Amino acid sequence: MNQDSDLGREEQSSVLRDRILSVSHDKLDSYVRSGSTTFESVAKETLARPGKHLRTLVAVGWGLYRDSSDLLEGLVKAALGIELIHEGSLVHDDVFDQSQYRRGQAAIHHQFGLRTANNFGLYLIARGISMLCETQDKYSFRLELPQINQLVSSQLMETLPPCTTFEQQRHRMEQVTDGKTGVLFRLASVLGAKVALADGASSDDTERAERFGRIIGRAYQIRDDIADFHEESMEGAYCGSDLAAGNWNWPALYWAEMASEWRDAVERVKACRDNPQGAQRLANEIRASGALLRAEQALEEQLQAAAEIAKQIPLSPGRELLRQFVSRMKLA
Amino acid sequence: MSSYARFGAAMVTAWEVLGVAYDVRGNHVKIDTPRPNKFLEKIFRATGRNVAIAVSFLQTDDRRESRVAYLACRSLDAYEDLAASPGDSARLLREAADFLAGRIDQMPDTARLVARNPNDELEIQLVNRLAQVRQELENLPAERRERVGGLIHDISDAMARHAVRNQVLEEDRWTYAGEVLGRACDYVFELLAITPETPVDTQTLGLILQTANDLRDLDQDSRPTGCTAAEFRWLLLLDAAAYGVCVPAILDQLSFCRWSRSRGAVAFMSATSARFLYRHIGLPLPLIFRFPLLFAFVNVFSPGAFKGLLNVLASLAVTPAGTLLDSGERPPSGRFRRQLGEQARWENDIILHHPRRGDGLRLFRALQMFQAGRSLLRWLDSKEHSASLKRRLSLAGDFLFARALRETDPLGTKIIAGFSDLGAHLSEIAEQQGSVDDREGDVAAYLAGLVADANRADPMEREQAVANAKYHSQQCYLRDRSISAG
Repeated sequence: MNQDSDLGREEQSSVLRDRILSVSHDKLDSYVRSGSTTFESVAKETLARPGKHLRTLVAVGWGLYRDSSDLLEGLVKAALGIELIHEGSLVHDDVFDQSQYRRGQAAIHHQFGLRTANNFGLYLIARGISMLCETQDKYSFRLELPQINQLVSSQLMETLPPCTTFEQQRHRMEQVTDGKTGVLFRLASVLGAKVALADGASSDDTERAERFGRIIGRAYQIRDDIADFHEESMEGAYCGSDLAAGNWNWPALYWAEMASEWRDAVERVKACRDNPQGAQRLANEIRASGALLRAEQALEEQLQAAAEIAKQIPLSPGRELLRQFVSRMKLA
Repeated sequence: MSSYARFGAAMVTAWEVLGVAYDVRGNHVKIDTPRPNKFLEKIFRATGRNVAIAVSFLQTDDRRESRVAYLACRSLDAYEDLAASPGDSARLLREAADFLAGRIDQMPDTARLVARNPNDELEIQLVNRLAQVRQELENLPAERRERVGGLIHDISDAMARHAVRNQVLEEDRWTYAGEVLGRACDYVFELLAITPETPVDTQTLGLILQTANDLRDLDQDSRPTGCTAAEFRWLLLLDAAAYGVCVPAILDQLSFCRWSRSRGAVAFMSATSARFLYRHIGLPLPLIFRFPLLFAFVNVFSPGAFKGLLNVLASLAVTPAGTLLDSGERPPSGRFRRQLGEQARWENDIILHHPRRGDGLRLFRALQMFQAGRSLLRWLDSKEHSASLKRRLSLAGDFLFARALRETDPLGTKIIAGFSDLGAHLSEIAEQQGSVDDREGDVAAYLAGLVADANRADPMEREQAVANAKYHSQQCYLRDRSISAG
């Protein structure tokens, strides 16, 4: 009986998830198309490769405290601002990271040039912020919008030379992860919780939502970093491409923790910069060292912590969605 | 005084300035003279160095007043930095302020002050003879005494409040910088009578000076918890980059007469501060910063030289791209004059007439960051710069845009949304016309709308103000363009 109801809930959540993704994609599509004729061709290109709308799912998860189409529509619309900022920041990230591909196709700056990529990225981010302001006014709450600043400052922080100790480096990587990856997950979670509260939900989950967003951000980054150690994980990426770009990632940090000398580890990672062969060799070494398993464990710990937080929310369609969201983030 | 008399006086001053500049080169560790005036002058030159040189540009009365103001503030600094605990520091600061104001006759107890280096020892010598500073203060004419007294009161109060807090936190650094060094800038501008009609953002100047101090004392002062020295230095440089883009526009507001010793003094202080930042970052020094004293003399006679200084400072806008991102390639420089063009001045003028001073200054800063960020994008189409530099310029543009938005955050969602919409609109325009120029005057129109709203103008008046601002901005743009083409 319990198994049947679990399966039923799972199925309902999947249906709900598909519905959210479809609504979110449609809203993003119509917004970008109606907004600007100048960027029409770039926008078409961007929308032809839809993202996973993870931040929208998180926002709806925190906000859908009752089964209501209106509330769902409202939440997806509210989260659209975050999706726009995310899309814009990806366009700019690709410029800065020199990525050639995004979601299986040529990156915007490769297709349309640096200037257009810059203008379009800024356009999306600015529109996203403006939309979040509208949402705040509509539901009468305040988001910590200056947090968006961290998207850039973390990107800048990543370019600093490595720290002199392992502990300091781990602290820095947490900051970079919370800024680059975590900030929009945090905003999405808090947005959902606040919309629910403004819509009449009885409990204030803002603080829990903030913690959930932070943890999911870290989990997402660790998962992404692990993927970097599997060849053919993404188009254009190869095993160790983070290292070749001169960036530290979580498995590399765990490998350095296991290594006897921090300074030697730093030198090894440094030598990988612009050296794909060297990066691949080190990536293989990291894999063989067991650091990847350690990273998988860390991912599991984060996901468990996120699942624990989601359990504390009163039973609702949103809670189911979050539970499913967390379990889908587990490695196959 | 006629122009010629001022010219003559400036020439006489030159000798005096050179004398001071020669004297401050010596290493004064112990100043052993019983004569009060000689002691004050020697300790001023030993602890102030660049300030002493800058002050020597001024007329005798102003020199005397600024010397005592500096020494009083320097004593407060000693109580703040050298006391055994934050509590001690706050108590000593209050006692020192009371003593200097003549409210008590007992000098603060300096026995527990701890010197860590020769400069601290000089400061202890100074506070041990605080009575002479008080005497000198009492000898000033009433108006001047009152002005310095106000400065001492405000700064000691701010220092005492911050002593018991953790001023390493970003918000506290900002408030502290404004209340201490910003207040000192306010005092200087008032003394020199160069304050314009519109508000001057001395808080930003204070933060830049504070950042230079923090960078100088990076190894000695406390840092935010969990922050390495390299990260703290980087955070300070980010602040210097974001707020530094406001400095040329702030200095551009100051009103000097044709031959002006004050301009020489301000130019000297600006050039030496900027030189420190250039050296700290590791950028090659522009010519004018290699010989700041000579440059300051030229400034006494030439308003054009001051403009040159502002242009060089404006080129520092590329600091985040050129240096924070760790590259050997030098950023483009000397081409950021848009900040000092007529169109930019017109935009600044509109926003500085905002009825709420604080909001106006906040918007002024946001505007400088926003426009500096947009200026960086000019180089994306350039063929002479590497792809790597262009990518970094692009990130620096994002950084300045984000900081502009952060600056507007306390003003509410309507303003943030307005700034964002303006950003989106200008991105579209930039894409359509292939340049970041604001030919239509959209920025001025937006700002005029904001000011009209703040003034509760009726719709007709608002529309009129927006249309005027837009038209005038277009005219300014055409003039700027013809000047740069010429």
